[in-house]
Amino acid sequence: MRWLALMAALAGCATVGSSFRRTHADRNELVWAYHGGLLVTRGGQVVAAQDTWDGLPVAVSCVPRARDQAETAQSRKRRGKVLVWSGIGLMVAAAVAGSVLIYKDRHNLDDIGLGLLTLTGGLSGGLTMTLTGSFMRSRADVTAIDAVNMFNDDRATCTGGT
Amino acid sequence: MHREVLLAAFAVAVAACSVETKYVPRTPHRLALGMVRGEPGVYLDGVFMKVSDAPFVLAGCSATAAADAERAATEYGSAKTWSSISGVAWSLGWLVPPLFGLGAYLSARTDRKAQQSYASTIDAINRFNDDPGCAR
Repeated sequence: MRWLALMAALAGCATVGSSFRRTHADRNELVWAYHGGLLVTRGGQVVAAQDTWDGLPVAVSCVPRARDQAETAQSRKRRGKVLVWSGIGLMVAAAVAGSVLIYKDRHNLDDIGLGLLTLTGGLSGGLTMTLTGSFMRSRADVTAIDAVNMFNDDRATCTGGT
Repeated sequence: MHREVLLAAFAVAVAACSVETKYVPRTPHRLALGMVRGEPGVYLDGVFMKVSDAPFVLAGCSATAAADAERAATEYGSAKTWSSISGVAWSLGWLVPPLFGLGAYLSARTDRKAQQSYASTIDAINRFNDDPGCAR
């Protein structure tokens, strides 16, 4: 196992993580951690993670504006993911379809033209979708950070846990 | 055609600038996570500091938090350098396709450095907030 971990570390594949654990946080405070991505913890337990932000709206539910931000973050993350994967799918489909049209009959100029159109249209459309999706995912992360900061500022108003 | 490319580049630049935290935390003497243009940073007493500026401010209270912030700043600087080099490799890949492979490797390295920077920033925040001396 040690050798596997060493090989992964040398290849740059080992998960990056924060090392310090808070010991003086109050039981309602949301505390950041990092393990291959941002994590939101409460009392040492992970309540939400950067890959989806699921769980964050519930964790901050007693502060309405924080909950709104958390829901926005969650929704942006989902839509971003859909756009990124749809964009990748569109690019792959355009590359395959365009190549087939271009190489099917190399004397048919109509098919070659259509193939080039499919290729460039699909690649540029797919790239736009992928970039938009990535941007949306990044926006989701900063919105989630805002939600956690709002909650931690106003958590004194919460009664009975979250 | 050049106009469209310039417009697209402008749109990407504007989009990148808008990836930043908007809410300013107001709990006194506590560090909170922030981000401006993708660079991690911290809020302290309503003031945002990029991670590269944080070590000087934190050193007055928590030496270990300042050391973490220093590490985060170094790693973020390294990520920016690797990002520029990988950008060159990706661009030249259109002329010399094997450079796409180098670009992919360097992008992975950039990503790893950026992740290390975030992890160190989180450590700096948690150490500072856990230090009773910093809460004043």
